[in-house]
Amino acid sequence: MRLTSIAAAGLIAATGVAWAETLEERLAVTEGRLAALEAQSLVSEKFRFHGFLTLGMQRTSDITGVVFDPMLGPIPDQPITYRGSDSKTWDLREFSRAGLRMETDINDRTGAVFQFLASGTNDYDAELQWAYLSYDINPELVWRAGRLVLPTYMHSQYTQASYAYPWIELPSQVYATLPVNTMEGMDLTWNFNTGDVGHALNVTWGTANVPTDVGRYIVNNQASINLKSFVGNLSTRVSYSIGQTDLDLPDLSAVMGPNLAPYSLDGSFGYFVSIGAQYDNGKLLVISELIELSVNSPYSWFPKQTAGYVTAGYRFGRLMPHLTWSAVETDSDTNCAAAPDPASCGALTAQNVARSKSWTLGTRFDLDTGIALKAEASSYYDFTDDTTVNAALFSGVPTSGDVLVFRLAVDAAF
Amino acid sequence: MKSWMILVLIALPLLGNAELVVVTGSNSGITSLTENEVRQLFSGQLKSVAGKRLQPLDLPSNSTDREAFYAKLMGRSPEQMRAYWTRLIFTGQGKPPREVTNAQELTSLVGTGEYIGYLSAEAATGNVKVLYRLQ
Repeated sequence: MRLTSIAAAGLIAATGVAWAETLEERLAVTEGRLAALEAQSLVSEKFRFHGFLTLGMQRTSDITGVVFDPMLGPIPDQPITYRGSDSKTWDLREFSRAGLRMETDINDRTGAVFQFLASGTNDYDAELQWAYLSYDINPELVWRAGRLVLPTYMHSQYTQASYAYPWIELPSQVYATLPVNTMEGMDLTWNFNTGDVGHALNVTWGTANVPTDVGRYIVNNQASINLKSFVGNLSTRVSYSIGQTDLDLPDLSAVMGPNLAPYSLDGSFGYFVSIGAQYDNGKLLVISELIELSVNSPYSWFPKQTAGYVTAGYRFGRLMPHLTWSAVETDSDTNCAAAPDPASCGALTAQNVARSKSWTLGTRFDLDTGIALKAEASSYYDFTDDTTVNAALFSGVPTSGDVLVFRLAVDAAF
Repeated sequence: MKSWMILVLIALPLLGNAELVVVTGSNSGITSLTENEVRQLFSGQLKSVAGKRLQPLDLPSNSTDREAFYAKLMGRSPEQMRAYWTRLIFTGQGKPPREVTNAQELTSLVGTGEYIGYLSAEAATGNVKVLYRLQ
């Protein structure tokens, strides 16, 4: 019915010039066009589509260092990779991805959203990142239920849409600390003002359930509260999350391995804190964030992680060079000496400690609205101290002089 | 080249510098807005004023008035505004202002009382009420 009216209106509009002689007739033609336009806009407003796309590449300088073999122990002078990328070829998979978001209004107050992500690191298998219903209790109070991306870090909920931020890779020492990023659950967001300061208070509750290399990592009663505040060019964000973590570790004694079962997490309390701020006056951009992650584990084998970064950039028209300093360290205050098998407990700790610092010099060039070219180079250093020997993001502990990672990307959002 | 075309070409750069006004329907109960309120309304942080829902409208993306509006109000370029909205869209925390095709459509939409928009001061007719002037 609607299609016919559009077609009819189109026909009137096309043939109108020939016979529209009187004022009334011209008016009728205009009304017809208007009706067609209105019908079109109704269709286009029924569903809203948004998407993002990134083609990124990464390679490293020649990095050598110590690799820890479970049987042979430390082996020096080995080639070291950074998150799967090496010095031989450009890795085009690590950052390449595409996302599509569909939104529809069920009624005046209720909407439904689906967001799919296909990423190179996952062989472009499409996964459902977001799928939720939202209900406006009033204009300032919104309830959402379904599959949601966790709002743990300041940039958590849009990590994949890299057009939104200046880097190609979000500061990895900070953004690689948590294995979970989505949950099934609900959240409630309240927007309010105190004087000139605007706030968005968000509370979430749900369950996260993800496969990891060692087993399924489940966080029950994952609850968080986060407060974003903004005044003028400044915005701040404080976030606190808690959860009960389950992680079944295997007993490998049947295959001559260690029995890790006593170190499994069973409803273990954990918390995650993120404090961040951003200043952007259109020219100068400063972003900083500090996080801490801790989980109560048997014999305290899981080390507490602290990480942070500070970024400063300056826009010269479409070009923005930026510089980032980032660091991660862990406080491995373990009680492994009291464990049934101190060596295995110690090995678990050693796998989860992390230490590194880095400088990243990058630039973003806005080719046009919706498309940006980016380049960056990171230099990593300071991988060891008295208690920590683990570079975390690298396949071993680099010992060569320069530990450099180069990245190039084109980002789009529409 | 006809003389009126030359005039238009001369006038084009000036259009971007024309005074811009934030408007709503002339029958709206709201009488004025502060700079902070305008900023928050057009960045999706504020959704209502005096308990009444107010939705922002954008002129088309190729409009010089649109570029001038965000440059004057927030110091942001169209690219920066796109990056800002990318953040809100993909987190479901907001949607960008509805885009109108021209000032006439904007004027008729704000007449319903649910919308606010911006226009060059000359384009503000008797059907709209000026809530804020961008200097």
